[in-house]
Amino acid sequence: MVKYIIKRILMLIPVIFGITLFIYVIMSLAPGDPATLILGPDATYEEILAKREELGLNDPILVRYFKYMAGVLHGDFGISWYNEYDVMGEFLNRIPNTLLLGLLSNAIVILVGIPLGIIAAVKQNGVIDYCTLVLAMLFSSMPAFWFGLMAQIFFCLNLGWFPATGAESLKHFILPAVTLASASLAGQVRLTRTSMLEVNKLDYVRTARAKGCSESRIVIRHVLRNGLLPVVTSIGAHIATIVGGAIVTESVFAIPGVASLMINAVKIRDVPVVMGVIVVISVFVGVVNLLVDLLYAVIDPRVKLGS
Amino acid sequence: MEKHLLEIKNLHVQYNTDEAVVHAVNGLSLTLDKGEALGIVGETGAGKSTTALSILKLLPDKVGEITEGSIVYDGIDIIKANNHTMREIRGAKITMIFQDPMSSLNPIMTIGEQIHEVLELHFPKMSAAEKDQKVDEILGLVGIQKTRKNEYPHQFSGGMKQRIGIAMALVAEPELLLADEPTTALDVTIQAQILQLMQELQKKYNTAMILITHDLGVVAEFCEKVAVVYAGEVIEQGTVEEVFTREKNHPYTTGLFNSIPDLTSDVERLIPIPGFMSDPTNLPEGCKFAERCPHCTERCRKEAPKLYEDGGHSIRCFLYETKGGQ
Repeated sequence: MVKYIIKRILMLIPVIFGITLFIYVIMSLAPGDPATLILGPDATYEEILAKREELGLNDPILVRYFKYMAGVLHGDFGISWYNEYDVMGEFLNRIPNTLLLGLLSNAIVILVGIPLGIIAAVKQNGVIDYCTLVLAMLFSSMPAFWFGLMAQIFFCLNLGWFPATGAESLKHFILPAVTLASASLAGQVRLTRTSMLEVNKLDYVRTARAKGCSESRIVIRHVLRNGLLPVVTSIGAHIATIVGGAIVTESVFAIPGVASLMINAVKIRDVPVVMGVIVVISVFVGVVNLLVDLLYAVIDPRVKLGS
Repeated sequence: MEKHLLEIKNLHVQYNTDEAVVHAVNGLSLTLDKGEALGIVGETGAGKSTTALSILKLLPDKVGEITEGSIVYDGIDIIKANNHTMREIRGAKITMIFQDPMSSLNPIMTIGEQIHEVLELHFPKMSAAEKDQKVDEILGLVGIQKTRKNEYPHQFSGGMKQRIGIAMALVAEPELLLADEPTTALDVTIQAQILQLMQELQKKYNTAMILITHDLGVVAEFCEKVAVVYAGEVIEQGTVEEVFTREKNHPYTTGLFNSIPDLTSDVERLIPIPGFMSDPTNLPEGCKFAERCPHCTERCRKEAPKLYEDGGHSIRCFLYETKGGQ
């Protein structure tokens, strides 16, 4: 087990090098000169040349990349080309907002999605089942930005229950978390339902019935644990996409999080900021995937790690 | 009349599917006494498993439906019994061994837990130590080392899994064991071991058994009574001696005997029964075997024969027509 975990963590290293190299090359090859963008239209040719030299843009891409990665390995993520702030410092300032948003939205997906899915499966073709089907279609076909705007109009403007923007208190995070959860929540309910119904048809559930188990015992002891395997995978995937998925939500609700930091940096080609966020996200996704795999082995004894 | 342990009368079961209504069991009657072993023989789709599932009321929800007849177990009307009564019967009084041991065990519970669960459900007052001891004991009886009880089903072979299935079915010392083709999914060499094990334990606990199979040889060896089922009804029943002496048999039973390879005679080919079983969504009016029967007459196509009894041996065929009949 420990050996497997170490192996998986070591495997992250080439993955992170691959991802960062890819992004670095794309950022560098994109048309337009960062030095010109930074200094604005009034800058003289000499000033631009000096800036290029200062940013190290005259070196070949690979040399720049390895210089950058050498810094990263020493814990130096560089400073922003524009505002000259420390990338890691800014990232650490903003990550709590994104994590809180992600955790809340995942909590909604898990705590609402799974129980609703179970109820929908147990009462198959009942009222709740059909309601979840309709809601699932509705939510998954609504774009997050539109859902967020509608929620702001209704709950903030009309009812005044929640603040529309900002990240000062937990209350500020409720609507964004619901927005971020909405599409996944609907999918989660249907996935849980389908998976439960699938397991419910299997022979060993019939065996459990033949033993004299009550329906609730069958659901809890026999169907649920088996049925949750695909659900765990999908939740893992959802957690991994927190940052990507939060871009729209953070913009709509003006939350100063990592996703908005990155999207702004991409727009102005602020390479150190983009790279810093990418490195941390890659590690995060890798670790989440590892945790999902470990959880899998805990739930299902047939899964043998490392072999 | 003596009281039977299990009495099935005129059982009709149908499956209501989207396409059609499948008449799986059509007026099947059986009786079984304490400690007795009854073999139910018939080909695939004859309604054998459906009958077994009906006894436990485990027919697929919303699809399977008992439309007529009665099943009385030890004075309890199974068809009218509520869920609570059924839960107390299942696993304790009537237990079942399923056809496919590979898929009949929960993959994420240890085998010990799965056997233990039966005791948890039916002997709530039993102490934990006593339950553990019972699990160890039954594992020993089915030939699995008790040290392996914390292992998961995937760590066992098919034959071992079926032994675990048997342990689960017998740990509560039931009065009636339903074995639905318990060896069909297993290797031939394992089949005999499993059947022998079942027989030993059946005798040990004096459990009545219904052994569902399509193998006449198995019935001859392990059962006292036999019922041959065709298209959802019993077409011949009697003691193993009566049926296997082959003095009087239903033409279908004769056909089954003829399709068994005989080691003593030198025949190149087996003699199969021609044709296929009647479509259960569209059953014929007269004798259901008429289409395939070498003795078929005009009357067989129009009129359904009754079971004609001679001593304990009854046959559903006009060839053996007597006064009365059931």
